[in-house]
Amino acid sequence: MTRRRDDGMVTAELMTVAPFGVALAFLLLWIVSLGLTQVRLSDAARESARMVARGESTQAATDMARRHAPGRASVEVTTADGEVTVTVRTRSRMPLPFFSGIGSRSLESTSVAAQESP
Amino acid sequence: MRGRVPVRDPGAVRDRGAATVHAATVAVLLVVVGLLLVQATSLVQMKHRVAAAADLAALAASRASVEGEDGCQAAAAVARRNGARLAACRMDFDVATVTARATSPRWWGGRWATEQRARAAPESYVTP
Repeated sequence: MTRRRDDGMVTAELMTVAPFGVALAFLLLWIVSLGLTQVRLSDAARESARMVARGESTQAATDMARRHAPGRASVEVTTADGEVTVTVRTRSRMPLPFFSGIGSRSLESTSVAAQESP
Repeated sequence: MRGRVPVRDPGAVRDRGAATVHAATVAVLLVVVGLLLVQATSLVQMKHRVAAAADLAALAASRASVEGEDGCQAAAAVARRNGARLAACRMDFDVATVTARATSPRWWGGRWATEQRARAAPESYVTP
């Protein structure tokens, strides 16, 4: 009867499974970081909506939102019927050197404020 | 050591597959922790959204009141446009004090609600 020794089997299995664990942890962290990006976008949108509502120039509000939003954000300011709508959009990329295209998502946040000086 | 234990069925003591079980346990734990993190993040997100809604609604209410319109109505409209509901609104002359509220979608069989109060003037301006 030949008996195969399975010493080292656990290590071998661990080595095959470990990459999946690491990938899973990365994925979860990525999802959380998307949420935090969304928070920063909504803060940027709120602040710039307030600025435009107060009567400051659209340019100043756009610059402010760009400074506060993560990444290269695009800011859209529309004024209609005494209401200011600011939408801040950004593309969130995976913080990986070669695979930044995977899971890259575009996020946006909108704030509406009533204009103060007609 | 394990290989020398005399047993009838050698397969019974082999630890092939043992690491897979541990890995599955760790994966499940990771997923649960991840879901909790995701939920915490989405609640933070909701809090920021509600705070923005309350803030902008209070400003809109004061502005409308100065112009002689109904402040609370304006506040409700702005809060709704910002994805929240107006839970309370009080006008002290032209100073609005509003509370915005939003409810999370159903998670783990329950809902979470956030309320944020905002006042469109310093506390000392008009004492309520």
